[in-house]
This record gives sequence, C-alpha cells and structure tokens, in this order.
Amino acid sequence: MPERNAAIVGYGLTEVGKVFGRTARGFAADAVRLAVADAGLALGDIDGLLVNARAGTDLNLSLARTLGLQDLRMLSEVNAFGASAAIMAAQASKAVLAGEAETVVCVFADDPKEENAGGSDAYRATSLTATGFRSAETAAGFTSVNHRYALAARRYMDHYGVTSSQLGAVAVSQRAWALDNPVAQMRTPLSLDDYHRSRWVVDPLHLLDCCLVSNGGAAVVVTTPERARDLPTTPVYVRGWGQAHPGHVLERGSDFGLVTGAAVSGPAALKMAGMTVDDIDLREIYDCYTYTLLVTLEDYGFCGKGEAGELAASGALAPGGALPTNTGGGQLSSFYLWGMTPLVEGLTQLRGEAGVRQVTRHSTAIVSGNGGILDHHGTLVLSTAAA
Amino acid sequence: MTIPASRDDASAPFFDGLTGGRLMLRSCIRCGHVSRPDTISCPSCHSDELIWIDSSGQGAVVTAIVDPAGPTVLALVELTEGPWIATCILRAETADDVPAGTPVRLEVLDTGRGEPIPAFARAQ
Repeated sequence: MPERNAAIVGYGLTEVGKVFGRTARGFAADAVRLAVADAGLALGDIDGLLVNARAGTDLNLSLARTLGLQDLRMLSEVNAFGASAAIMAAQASKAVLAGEAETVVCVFADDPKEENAGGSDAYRATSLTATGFRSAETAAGFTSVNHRYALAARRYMDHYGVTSSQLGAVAVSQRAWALDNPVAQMRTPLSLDDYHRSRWVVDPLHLLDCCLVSNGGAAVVVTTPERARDLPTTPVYVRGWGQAHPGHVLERGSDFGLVTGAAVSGPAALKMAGMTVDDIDLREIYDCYTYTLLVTLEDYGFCGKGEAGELAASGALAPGGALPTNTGGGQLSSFYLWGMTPLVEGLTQLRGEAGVRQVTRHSTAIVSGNGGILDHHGTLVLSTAAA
Repeated sequence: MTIPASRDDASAPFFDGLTGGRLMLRSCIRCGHVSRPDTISCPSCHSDELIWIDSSGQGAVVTAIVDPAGPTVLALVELTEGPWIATCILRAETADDVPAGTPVRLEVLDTGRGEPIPAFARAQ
C-alpha cells in the first residue's frame, strides 16, 4: 500500500450528447480547460498529459500543441478502450507520486454522433471494413459489437438464470438516478414495462440495455497530495488501482461472458486501498450494457456469481437503496464517454456536488472501466480520505 | 445487407478449405493443441508453429442470439475439437430452437457475394 496517495483535484465535463460543431479534439481541449479551471490552476501549471481517443477521430498527442502546452514531462496516448480512464488515472497517480511530473491531466473525448444520423450509425463504419477471418463472422451477421455482447449476456443469463426483467431492473434503476442529474441525456421516467416494450437490438438486448451515444469530452487533473492541500477543491485520493486483460480464448472451457477481468482487477484495487467491498459507499460501474453492470458487481464481490440480477430487482442499486450504483444514470441514461462516465460521477459524489442525487455516505467509491468485448478492465478505488 | 467475406494472405487457406467444403483449424506442432482458424500463437504453449488441419465439422451450441433484422440466429458453436466459431444457425428462428448443447453440423454457406463462410444447422 502506498504511503502517499495521489489526488484528483479537478475535473471538467463539456456539454454532452447531441452536441455539434466541435470535433473530438475541440471537446478535449474544452474539457482540459474546464478541469484545470475547476482545480484552481492555469494551463501553464500542467506538466503531464495523457490522451485517450477512439481511432479515427482527430484527437491524439497533438492536443498538447492545440493547448499550447510546453515543457511536458509526460505525454502519451493511452488506449485500452473503455478501461482507459481508470488506467490513465493510475498512470498519472504513479507518475506524480514518483516525482516524474507534478500535475497530470487525463482526457477523453469523442464525436461519434453526426447531426443527421441515427445512433446506431455512429459506430457502423468500423464494423464493416473487416477482411480475412473476421469478415467471415461479419458476413454471418456479426456486424456490430452489440452482437458479441449479446452472446456474452445470453450465456450469462442462461448459466445463472438471470432474467430479462432483472436486466431491465438495471435500466430502470439507473434512469431513476438520471432524473435528478441535470447533465443526463435521458430524463424521462422509465418503467419495467417501458423497458420490455423497447425494441430488440439483438435478443437478449433491448434498446434500453445498451448505452447511449454521446459527443463531448471529460478530463481530470491528478497531482501530489502536497499540492492538493494548497488547492481550493475537495481532493479525491486515488487509494487503489488495478487492471486485468484476460485474453479469453474462445474454446472449450472458456468462461467468456461468465467471469470477466473485473474479478482480478477489482480485488487488486481494493487490496491496494486496504479496503473491502464493505468499505465502499458508491459503485460507479462501466455500463455499456445492463449485463456489464451485473457481471462487474459480482466479479467485484458485492454479491455472489449470478446474484446481481436479484440485487437489481430488489431496488438495492436505485435511489434509496442499500448499494447506490451509477448514481448519475450511467452510460445507459446519462452519457457515454467511455470510462470517464463513471469516473466523473464518482468525483461529483465524493466532492458532495451531486445536488438532488447526492448520496449521504460519500467517502469512498469504486470506479470501473471495461474495454473491447470484455477484453480490458480497469479499476480505481477513490476516497476523500488519504491512507 | 449482406457484407461479403473477403480473404487476405493469412486467411487464404481457411477460405480455400471452405471452398472445398471443409472447416480448417490450426494445430500446434509443439503441443498438439487445436485452436481457432485465426490463431497465430498457440493458446496453450504460445508456439507460432501451427499447421492447418480439417475439422470434423461437428459441434454443439454454446449460446445463441437473434438479430431481429433477419431474423437471423447467431451463435457460438463449440467444435468437437474444442475451438469456438462465431457463426449463424441455419433453419432456426429463435434462440430457444438451439439451446446450449444442441448438436450442430457444418454447412458451408455461399452467400452469393464474396467467399463462402461456415454456417451450422441442427444435426439430425
């Protein structure tokens, strides 16, 4: 366990959702400016920058030049897809604790949504340019990531007896949180009937099992605990981190869909933090699908394998429940900026800035990131108290 | 919309096999492990010395999903040799038609455009 903990002292979130007129790089620059201002700092104070971006956007290392940053001691692109935010925060924490840099900004931004196109069009192009082995799967009908997650979800549901209504309970629970989140893209009430009536994307996934598509950007500022003491915001200490990349081989004996990298990454982060799941007040979990939320809660140890569906159906994850989870609505109802979605909500809650949806006990949070088709996992354990 | 399968250098033997009605797999020279056609390093011993072998074409459904656009039943199929193939199940309409464990057999599918692809149907 580290003796000192790096601190997140600022975050920035641009307008998100159906926002047009800026590219990913523009959103990223705005997010960095917002984060630095939130921290009570100036751009000239930054000496480290980590950039995460989706392939094909205009966001990359050149963001440093866009912002006019000079004399950086740390500058890299980081990509494990949805696990990147947690991994960037961990890398930044290690760097500032080692004295390699003092004030590191981590940023992600995206612009998948075009003004006159539907949500599903946003990611279509990359799925359909496959050649070789993968094109045989595309030709069979695997034209999107939804198909592959549907396989994982179906396997999980059949193996553990998790029902469609239990998946729906996740969507309903998170929409309830989103109603009190002024940033959330989806703020109309959602019932379980509404969930069941929503169209199939790929059975067993309804539209409301799948995350939103959002334009926008988010950034966080990481610094030393000593610097944090001089800054105006409530510092959020990075108490632990973990990552796991299972490299599932799709062959006999695989637990694809049943157990994920969360089962290694979560316990590692908690151990580093000197905590157990019982010490965690808030769960901010990467929810690209309702299924992902359920399997991650189990793999982190908040309940036994196959039991998270019952947990969701009981209302435990919802406002007023015993295990507040995805308290801003998550990627299902708030916005989708990969791993920045759960991280930003965790910071908001821990700093006591969540307004109507503020959770009373908000000292500790676990934040997850999930990339690829359950290929990459990252975890952060955050606290308002240093070790 | 049918997206045609197309070959590259690495997959040429795989598509040649399908043209001849066979699903080819990779076998490790060092340890004998049989793996998916797109394997480059043996998942068991990490050797990159792999040869092409025929599969029996027989397997069982691991899990199945339904794309409502078809409707098309898509599945992971576990071949008797061990590797899983992501494929479509012919002449099935719902996931309940092919529960986990349903025996299936290879039928090479000519989609009308591009390379033939592996598909499966319930074994009678």
